[in-house]
Amino acid sequence: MSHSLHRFGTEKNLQNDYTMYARASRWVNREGCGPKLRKILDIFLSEKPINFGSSQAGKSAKAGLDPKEYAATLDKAYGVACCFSSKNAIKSVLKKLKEADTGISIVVSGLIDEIVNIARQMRHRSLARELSGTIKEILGTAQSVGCNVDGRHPHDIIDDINSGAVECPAS
Amino acid sequence: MKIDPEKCVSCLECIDFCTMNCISEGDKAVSIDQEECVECGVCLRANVCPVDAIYMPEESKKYPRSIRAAFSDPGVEHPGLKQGGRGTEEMKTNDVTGRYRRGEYGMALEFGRPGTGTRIAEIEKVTKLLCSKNIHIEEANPVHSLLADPKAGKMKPEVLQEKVLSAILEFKIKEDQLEEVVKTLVPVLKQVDTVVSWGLSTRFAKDGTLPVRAKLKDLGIPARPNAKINMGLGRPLIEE
Repeated sequence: MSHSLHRFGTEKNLQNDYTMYARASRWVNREGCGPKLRKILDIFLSEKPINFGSSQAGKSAKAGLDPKEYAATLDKAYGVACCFSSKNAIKSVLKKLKEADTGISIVVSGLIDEIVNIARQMRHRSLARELSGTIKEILGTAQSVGCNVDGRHPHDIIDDINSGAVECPAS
Repeated sequence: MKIDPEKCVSCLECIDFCTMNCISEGDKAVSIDQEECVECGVCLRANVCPVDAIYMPEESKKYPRSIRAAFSDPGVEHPGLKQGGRGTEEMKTNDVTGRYRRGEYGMALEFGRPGTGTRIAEIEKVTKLLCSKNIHIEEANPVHSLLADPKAGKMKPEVLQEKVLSAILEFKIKEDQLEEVVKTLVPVLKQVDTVVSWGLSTRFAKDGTLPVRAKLKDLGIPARPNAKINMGLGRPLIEE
């Protein structure tokens, strides 16, 4: 389903055809990735994809796959895939994925120029709805370049924000 | 895969599920053409047989025939690779693996598709050519495990006539090799007895452009307007 070869069309009729695929890497972050893949699936589902599924699940949503059934297969999987028919849904999903910071690679299949435009829009500003989200984005960046914050690992601070141990101002 | 003729009631429900169109009606029962069957298991997983006549015989699990299921059934792992399917992660996890760096292109040639399949002998036509140009076949890819001589691109003789749903041959080249590789490969690809889908993996330039699109256009290659794009959200992010 994620194979771009299957998505054959013109620039016009591919305008509303996007596939998103989360993939853990065998060499980096596949071990125990099930909970993260379920979190990603929840984010995908929040924007009403038109289809989802996998060979492991044995079928797709269009063929009757229930989201809970799909979620149950993810402990033995290394990816989760779904399709969207709206650019706005892609933008919204990417914003939520960036905030969630699961560390799992995300691939979008669609018109190259459209996806590049979406990526450019995401690049320079925070897409968080609340300041705590922006703070977590910055902490995520610090972590990716190997920096600690106040001597602490950035993800420990993110965990404290999520649990309420560290309070962020509303604005 | 086989169908037990003693159990089969010729309801014909399984026929449409065969990815290789190799299930046919006989005088007393339905049967599967063993030469064409790629052991994908779809006929069994479809679960439409009212009498459970479809099964995978023991001989299908023995090498070399066992490679058919390894390539054709995504639920079967390739021995030693701890993964199923036809290829590797390719660019999907490039943000954390750094497999493709700037200045190089990843190439993926997919031999066969559902409905067509490919014999391993067809892939050997290309592996021999690539190796003659000193281009290395990707080691983490299951096709590499079929090579008897990775330097010459020769496959193990016992696998040459095995048929699979599809297999993806992966390799990397330097950017400046693109024209030579395209001009060398195209004539050979026209001689293989299957369909070949050609994928190219590349990094975006730092300004967000994709210079390879113009290069392919100049070479007369009609690249698609759509592609898979890694969004860089994987962690830890690989260093440049």
